[in-house]
Amino acid sequence: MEGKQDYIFLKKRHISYLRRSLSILPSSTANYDTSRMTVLFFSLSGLDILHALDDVPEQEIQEIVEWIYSLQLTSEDGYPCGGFRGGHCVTNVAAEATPQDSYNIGHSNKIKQQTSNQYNDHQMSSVCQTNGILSKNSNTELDVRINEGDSSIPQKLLKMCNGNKKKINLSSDTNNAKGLSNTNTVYSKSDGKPPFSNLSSNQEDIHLQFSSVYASQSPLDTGHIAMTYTALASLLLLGDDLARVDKEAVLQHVASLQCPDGSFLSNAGGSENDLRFVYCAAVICHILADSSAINIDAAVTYITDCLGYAGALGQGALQESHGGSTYCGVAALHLLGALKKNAGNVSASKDNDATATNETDNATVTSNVAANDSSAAVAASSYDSEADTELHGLLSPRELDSLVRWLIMRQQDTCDTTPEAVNAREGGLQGRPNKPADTCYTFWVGAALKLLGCEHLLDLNSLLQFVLSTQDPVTGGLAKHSSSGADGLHTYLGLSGMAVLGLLPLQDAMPVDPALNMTCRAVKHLRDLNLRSRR
Amino acid sequence: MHNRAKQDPSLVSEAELADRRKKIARYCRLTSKALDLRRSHTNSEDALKVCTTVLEINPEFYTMWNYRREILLSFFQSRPDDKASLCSSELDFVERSLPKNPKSYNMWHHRVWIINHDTSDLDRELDLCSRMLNLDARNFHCWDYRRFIVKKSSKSLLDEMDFTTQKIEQNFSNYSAWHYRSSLLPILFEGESLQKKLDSEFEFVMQAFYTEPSDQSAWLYHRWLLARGASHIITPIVDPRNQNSDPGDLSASDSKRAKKTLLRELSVCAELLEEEPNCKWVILTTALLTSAAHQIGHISSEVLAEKLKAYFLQLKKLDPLRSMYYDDF
Repeated sequence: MEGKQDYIFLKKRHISYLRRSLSILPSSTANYDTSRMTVLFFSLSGLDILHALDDVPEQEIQEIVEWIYSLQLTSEDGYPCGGFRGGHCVTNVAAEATPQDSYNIGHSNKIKQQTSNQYNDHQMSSVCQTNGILSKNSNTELDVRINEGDSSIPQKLLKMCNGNKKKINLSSDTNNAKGLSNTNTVYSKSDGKPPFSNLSSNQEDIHLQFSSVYASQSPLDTGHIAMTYTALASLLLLGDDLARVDKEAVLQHVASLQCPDGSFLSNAGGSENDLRFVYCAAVICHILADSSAINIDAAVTYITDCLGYAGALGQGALQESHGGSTYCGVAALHLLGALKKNAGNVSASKDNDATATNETDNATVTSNVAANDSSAAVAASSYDSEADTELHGLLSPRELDSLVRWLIMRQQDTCDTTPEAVNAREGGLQGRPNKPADTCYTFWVGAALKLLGCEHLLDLNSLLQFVLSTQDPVTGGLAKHSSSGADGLHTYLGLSGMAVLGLLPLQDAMPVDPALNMTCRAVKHLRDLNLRSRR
Repeated sequence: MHNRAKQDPSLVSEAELADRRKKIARYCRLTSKALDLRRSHTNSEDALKVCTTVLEINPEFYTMWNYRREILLSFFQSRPDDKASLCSSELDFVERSLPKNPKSYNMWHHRVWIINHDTSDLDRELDLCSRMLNLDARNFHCWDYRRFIVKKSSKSLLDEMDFTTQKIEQNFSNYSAWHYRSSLLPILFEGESLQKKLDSEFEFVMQAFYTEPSDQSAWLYHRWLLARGASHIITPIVDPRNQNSDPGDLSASDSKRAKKTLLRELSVCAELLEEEPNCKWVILTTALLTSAAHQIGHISSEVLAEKLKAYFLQLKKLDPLRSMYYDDF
């Protein structure tokens, strides 16, 4: 290997990194205040992959579950369009003048009362820390709360906030609060209206309708489609049975966000619309075993309109092909039962001999592939069942071929040669042509290839070395590339990508379902819940 | 979160930490003030200012953007004469914050929203796009925004074509510019005029790949041109099972032209191959075109087999990461 040493997978470091990020985050991540749910998902799913979720104390698991449910908008509370929020930033009016005060209000008092009889001081401080409540001698890094404590308080605050709120009904007014802009379809094609939409596809009308909703008050306290997705995923990871999920409200939330062109917004207050949210919608409906909330034809049309001239998908029609959006599109097609497995040209091979011809003396890679055969089969069966016999493939073999070719061309054969990139490796995956390799594309590109049955076309060994070169040996976690600092997103997607592709031994990393982006264990739990038969 | 340089935490001073704490306190104060104002249905200048400050600190707080838009809408209604100047100062606000957050979905979305209300100065927007693209030619938010403005302004797409030419000439590996070009071409030209245009496109892209043969953008565009110019020949090579492209459907002259294009491109690539025997893209494209030549009966199966074998062996050597892919051929 050109005299370069092989990297070691620093499993324990990553576990520490992820555990820490469950309770504290550095102030540089303050912009993620509105997306705490996704940060939580990264940590939980990452820990699950590393077989470390079971080590989280049951008490903490329950607190996290309560926190998640506290962010749900239920019809019982007056939200027929439900879903989950990303954090309490809008509802939590208790934020006071100083950080100390804000941490101490209500939450800590109540918890302290409850727990003071049970715990000694040392335990108290760790419980408080878990709940994001700081003691006076706190570490200076504890600037952003992730776990905001007692679940009953947010409910109360909710009622306080919404004293003036008119009941949101499903009249045309509310349904019209969407589809602000069609930036993605400059040369608009389809006029297909989803069943839940009363929106005109004429932009002028869209504005008038939305303006009238604003004139009364548009919802500020709403669910966000990506937070809903990661909330449901997190609950599954924590072993919850989803019994407290207001399924009807969630489905209404998803339905209300679909635009006439088939894409989705992120929230009812208004946002951009693109493939990311189509994927979120598809996963939510898959988890809840009910896709009646989506106009599938419109969604699928939107996805295929995203195909670019070079073979992959952009965020919207006419947009540049990009690894992230390609994953979202391919996975969404798969979940909606519209992706045809590429069984033709390129062999969907579980052929271990082929991998063995790679000049590598790292035997673990080949044995990983072998070991992961069975787990890959498990993974395959977990998503095959939906797509099954009626694979009416929407992508032609030629389109699939171009897509696969575009994806494998993302593997870099050159290194980042900047002086900061110490020990950088070739073999990483980039998100678009002529961009530097980036750890997170290990998942986006890798899982897309996995769904197409062609992941073996990558040079898995050099990919592994690249990803491992981005590990931070001090704090744990993975970074975008070897000269950047670690963060939750890259840590999680690096781990998940390696797990999907079977790059790590099974005792280090559990297999991950490429379409649902969670461990096969979590997917099995979902199947066992048998939500389809529940009302 | 993206792309932060590694920082040694022990190097952070006490003063800096104290400063951070002050910032957090201020942020919390402002956020709750904004929410209070909103709850009391206040749509005032003061409320707008608070939103501005919060958003300058955290542009990802999408709820604040939505509240901001509510305030603006109420101003548009109550002070219709001020609408234009309000929009203009909104654009100023976004423009100030964009360089720090060039990839923020919220920022670009807000700008789109403003333009949907006031399209008076679209040239300013095009100018912004040009400046942002000079900072980062691959910013797809900006490219998409440009498409939106072009549509709004009914600017000539031929001018846009020229814009891509300009960008490509500045830097042949500007993949985003090639991409934009590929979307404009089929809209601007159809049928006969498209075929004619393709010839000059081939010329153009050839200059690019001759100058920088190892850059993939030009090759990807070239491949696409081939597919457009000679799809009934190229398609079966890429996908032998696809029986849809039937040469019988094409007119004789179209078929003749397609063959001519193919053979011309084959000789262009073969020539380049002599100068650049170790460039994977040249080899890959030559292989594709050689197969196409066989398809139209220009070379025999034996010659084809021999050439392809040589090409793919070479490719495996030059591009070992993808040797599995080449094995499949």
